[in-house]
Amino acid sequence: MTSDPDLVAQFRATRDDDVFRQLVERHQRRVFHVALSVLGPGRGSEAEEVAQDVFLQAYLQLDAFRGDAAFSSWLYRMAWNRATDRGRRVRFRRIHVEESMADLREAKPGPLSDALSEERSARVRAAVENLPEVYRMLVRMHYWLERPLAEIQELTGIPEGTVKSYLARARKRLERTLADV
Amino acid sequence: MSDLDRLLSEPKPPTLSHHFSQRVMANLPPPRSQTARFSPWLRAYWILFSFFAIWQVASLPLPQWSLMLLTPVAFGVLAASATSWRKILAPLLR
Repeated sequence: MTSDPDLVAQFRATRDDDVFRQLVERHQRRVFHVALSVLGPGRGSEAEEVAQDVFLQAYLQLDAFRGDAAFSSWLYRMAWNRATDRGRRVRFRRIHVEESMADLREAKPGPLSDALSEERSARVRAAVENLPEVYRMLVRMHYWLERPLAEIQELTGIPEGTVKSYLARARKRLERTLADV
Repeated sequence: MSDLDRLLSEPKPPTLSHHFSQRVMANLPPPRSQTARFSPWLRAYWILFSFFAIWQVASLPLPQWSLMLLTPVAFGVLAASATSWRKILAPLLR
């Protein structure tokens, strides 16, 4: 399999779309996961739009890519930044969790256990939402998207040991917040 | 798996659409320079036509100010022609 630097060099020399397609196919899932971990559950289509924007930006700016870092790191960082910008833009529009829970209770008059389970899930999601940005992203990557620590290091550029300690701290915070759940 | 782990893994994460890469490729902009697609013959024709147009305009009995206005335009056309000539001659000079 051709390496990333070779494909990048080949694309710069030829501007061949097939070469760029190989880069897209190689990194699309991971770029999507970075965007998804920043944006959170229920925003899959937005994460896909972000991923699409990232590849468009990469296509336009590949000539300016200096190669100081790996191509993949450059791409994932771009996904992180874009998703964060998008998250900030729409955050103020999001419905307060309590309100959405009330809607949920009204909308789903099913068995009591289902309603309670939904309520617990909603509280956990709200608690994750209130974590600092990096903790939130790492928790979603590790527990929700089930990415291994080595891959998280690759996606975020944060060393594996630091990822572990951040996850432990985030978990403690969550346990404190959700003590009564 | 603890209760918290289970709650954190919900809801099931979405997957990337099947045709994602195709959609990305379809939305890429066209190549920056459309003239690069022109054949050398078309480019040569365009250059000769530019020279002819400049010569025609220069030989018209126009007032002084209009020639002053047209001179930078003529230089622009000549510069563009030179670039095109370089592109035509490059494979021959290699």
